[in-house]
Amino acid sequence: MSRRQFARKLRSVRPPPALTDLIQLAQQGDAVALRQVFDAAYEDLRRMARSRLRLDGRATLLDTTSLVHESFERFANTGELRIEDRQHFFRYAGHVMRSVIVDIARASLAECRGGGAGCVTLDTAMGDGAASGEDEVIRVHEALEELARHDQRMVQVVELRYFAGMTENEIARVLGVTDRTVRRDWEKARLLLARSLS
Amino acid sequence: MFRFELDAASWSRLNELLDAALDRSPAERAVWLESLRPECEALKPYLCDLLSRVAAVETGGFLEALPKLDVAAARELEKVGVGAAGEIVGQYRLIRELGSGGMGTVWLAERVDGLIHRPVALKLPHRVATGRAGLAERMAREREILATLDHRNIARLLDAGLTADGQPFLALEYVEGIAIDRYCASGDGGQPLDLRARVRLFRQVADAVAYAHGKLIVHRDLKPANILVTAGGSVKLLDFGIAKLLDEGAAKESRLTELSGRALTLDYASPEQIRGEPLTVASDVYSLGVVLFELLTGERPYRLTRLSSAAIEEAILTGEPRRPSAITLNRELRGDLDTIVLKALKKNPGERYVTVHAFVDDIQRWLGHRPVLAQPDGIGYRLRKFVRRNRVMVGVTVAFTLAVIAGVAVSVWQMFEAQNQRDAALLHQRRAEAFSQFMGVILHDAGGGDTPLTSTALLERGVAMLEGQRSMDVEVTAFMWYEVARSFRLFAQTDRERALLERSVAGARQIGDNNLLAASQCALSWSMLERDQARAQQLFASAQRALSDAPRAADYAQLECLRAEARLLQVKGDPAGAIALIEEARPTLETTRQRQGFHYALIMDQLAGLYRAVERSKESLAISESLLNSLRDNGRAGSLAELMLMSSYARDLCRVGEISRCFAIHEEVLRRAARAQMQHLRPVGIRFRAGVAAHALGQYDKSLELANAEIEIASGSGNRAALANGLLLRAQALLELRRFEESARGMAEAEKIWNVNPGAFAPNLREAAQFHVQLALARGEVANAQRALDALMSRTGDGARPEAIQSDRLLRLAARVALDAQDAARAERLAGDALAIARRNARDEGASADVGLAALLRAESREELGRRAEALSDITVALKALTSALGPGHAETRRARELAASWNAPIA
Repeated sequence: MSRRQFARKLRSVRPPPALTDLIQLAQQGDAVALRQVFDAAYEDLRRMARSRLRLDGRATLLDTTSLVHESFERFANTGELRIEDRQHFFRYAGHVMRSVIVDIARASLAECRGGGAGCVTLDTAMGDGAASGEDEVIRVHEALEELARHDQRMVQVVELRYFAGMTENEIARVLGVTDRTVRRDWEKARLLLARSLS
Repeated sequence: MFRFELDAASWSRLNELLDAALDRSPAERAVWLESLRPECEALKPYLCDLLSRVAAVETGGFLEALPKLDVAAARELEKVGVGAAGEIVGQYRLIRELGSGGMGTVWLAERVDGLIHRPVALKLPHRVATGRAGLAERMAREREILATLDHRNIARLLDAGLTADGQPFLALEYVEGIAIDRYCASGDGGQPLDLRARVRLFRQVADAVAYAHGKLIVHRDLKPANILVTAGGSVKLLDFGIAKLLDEGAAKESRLTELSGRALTLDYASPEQIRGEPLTVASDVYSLGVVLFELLTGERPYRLTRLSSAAIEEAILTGEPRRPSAITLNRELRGDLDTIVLKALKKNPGERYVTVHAFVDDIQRWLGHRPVLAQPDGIGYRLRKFVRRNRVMVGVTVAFTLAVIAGVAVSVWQMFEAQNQRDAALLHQRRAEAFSQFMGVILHDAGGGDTPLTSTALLERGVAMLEGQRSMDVEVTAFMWYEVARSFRLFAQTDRERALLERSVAGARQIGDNNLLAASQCALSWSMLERDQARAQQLFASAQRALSDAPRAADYAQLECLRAEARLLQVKGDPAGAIALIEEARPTLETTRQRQGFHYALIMDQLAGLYRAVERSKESLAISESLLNSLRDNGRAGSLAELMLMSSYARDLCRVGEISRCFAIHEEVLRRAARAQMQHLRPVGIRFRAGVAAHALGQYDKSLELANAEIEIASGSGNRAALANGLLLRAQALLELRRFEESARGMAEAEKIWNVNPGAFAPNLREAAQFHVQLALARGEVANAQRALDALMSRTGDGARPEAIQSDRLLRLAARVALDAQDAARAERLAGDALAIARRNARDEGASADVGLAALLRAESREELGRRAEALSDITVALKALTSALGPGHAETRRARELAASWNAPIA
């Protein structure tokens, strides 16, 4: 094997940067690392969400909390994350989960618009105009984009609470604020979102 | 779409009020709301609305849990992007998936309508925020631009648009091939390609990139995965400009998309890309350098200690790339290939190849076993030394070098002070880089093609490109308009110059750049002078205000305005004031830094012109001689700038009477202008000046020919001042050739032009008046000549004022009229005055035609008066000077020699 081929082979087996490193870089404001963390988590969570939905059949309530936990366990088991990274990982997980759910909702709506017969829900068949789950998700997502211009933490609280299904206690730990702050942010965010979704 | 419709201040007040309200029990809230301060009145409806929802939100469990989601959608998420076999996207039906990656999914697809049977590669980028205003328009615009790429080595973008649910899709030419790095490693028959084959392959890549740069399209994501080699061994570049299309399409405002955007291919990213700066063709040059490095060595340029994005970034930003030859130990790499690769990988964009063309040229030289231009020392070394002097100036130097090589005199940015002005300096650098690329592109175009382009055609092409480009912001384009306008001035295309300057004025206003505004207005003022003096004055005043509003007046703006002010004074008939103005600034101008700049050259050239206008030719000769020398010292011999200066220098030599030398230099100028690389640069004026010298030497056929050439060029460019000069020269030649009617007609035409602004063209009109005297004289109408002369003399105050234009010529003419009118005494006096002035003007009396001609006239007058001894002394002077200045064969020299001989003068 020539020196060059050897070098090539070496490169091809080079492992991707460990998520732990990437998370640390992301913590230090490394935008590229942040994207890579996001992408890694996104791939994992999307794959799990999809298989969960398929297993469960139609119109499923996703237990996103367990998805996030499982995802973390898997990264920890393969050595890509350390136990100490848990809080950091969860901190991003809310955002990632939001992206996964929004994409699923979009794909679902696209399917409906594409004329799939299975798309007629009881609600829409009744014609009472009640929003479907997909619509709600997308409208919350869009409202959060607006809200993010005013209050980033409030958005994070909604992501962790609504999309990642975490408790107020967990969220307080992840964000490093008091339970009360989380509760109040959630309270206010819900009022604002209610107004915007109405 | 939903909006929180609040500004930041209202938002934070609302947030506080909401906290206060939620701290209270529902019962307390009503009272509290009533007690709200009046300034909260505006927010009260909003607040009430929110509070009215408290109960419903809590009891209804609003957003307590995610809603149920439809599994049908989940199936489509098998892949990263959307899409399934058979699905219709836009006009296309998906056939099978070709692959998926960080960017999305790629499908083999075909047109639904069956119009075109060729399969396409359909890209479905994933996770793009939808519902963005203008996304479709932006996609369409970019699509139009990318669709203009038509090159055999570039996979065509066939279509781009949005699917029914607002997701973007791209349809590209389907290419069957393998990535270039794999192709190099395995070749077509399983054998790795040899070095030359790799370099040849890379050449195809670089050619394609250069082609796209010619259309101002930057790839932004060059890497082996985007470069395929087909079975036939030809290269196809994928995804040209698509990185930009997607980046812009994916709306930057949203944090979500920002986070989930494509991960950059770090290994091929340039330092400026890592820093998040705007990308230019220089970034592609860098990425090409990495690709070449990898093709040559199989490795990446940097040795990394850790494998993290931070380590890669750090290496790209600060690490020294390895020499390719040090990796493979291949002796063929050592030397030129090392140098080529390392030049492309320079950290500073200004030190890289200015264009991909330059890169390709060197590759081609290497393939042809010729020495490459990139050198570890030489020009690069000089540049580095310059960089050390002033780090931010590099792009500038490149722009200047390039421009001068090309012969286009750009204003030069060496002159601004960089210290304490980092932002301004960076902006300048960005502008200079953009301009250098721009020049590189349009100049390359000049090289190719069957018909040589004139420089103005080239500039017009550049203008069209600027108009068509989308990638530059107005901070850069406003400056480009200014620079391009100035280039038009060099070719005396004043209409175009004005039109473009209007744009740079508008752009400068838009971005609030007072320096650029002042510079553009002063340049505009200059070009308006001959047409509309009042407007020129207005523009200048406005520029002055802009300059005083600028936080720090930039040198280039100050100099541009200094030139305009001096020219305003000159046109108002105060050349002495104009000279004083520039002389006052001269000590500050003559610092080393300033002297390198082209603005310095321009303003000194203007000063020389002013000295010429007041007949102080020795001063102007000294200036043009020193300018010419410093230009040659700066390695700019052979440029158009040198040519123009030589022409001015020659004119000064003519003015001090050294006609033979003057004409020899003019001939050299014309010879050089006729060379291939100069042919498209049709500088105005050089033929006219050469013609004047030819005329003085008595070569009237030559001067007629040159006059006709000048007239043709000047009419072509609409330069009326140059046209009038050409007409004057032709009229004078025709007069000597005794074609009086034609001659008079042409002169009348020229006078019509000058009379539009008699103030500005006073010297030319005096020239015309002298012409009429000569014409009358030539026709034997002595009385008419006398009348015309008297009128002229009364206008110029007896012609004896030293500042009178070419007054010795006028005095000689008057002496000639007096001789013809049998008034030898008057002739002797006038010739004596002319001789005194000519002596004052001459650098060397023994080499001045003016001295010789005046002495000859006085000798004739004295002979008429019977003063042989004095006449002999004059004829000795005349013969020496005329032989030197006009040559022994000139009619006047011969006449002097004959007279001397008939008087038995003791001269050989």
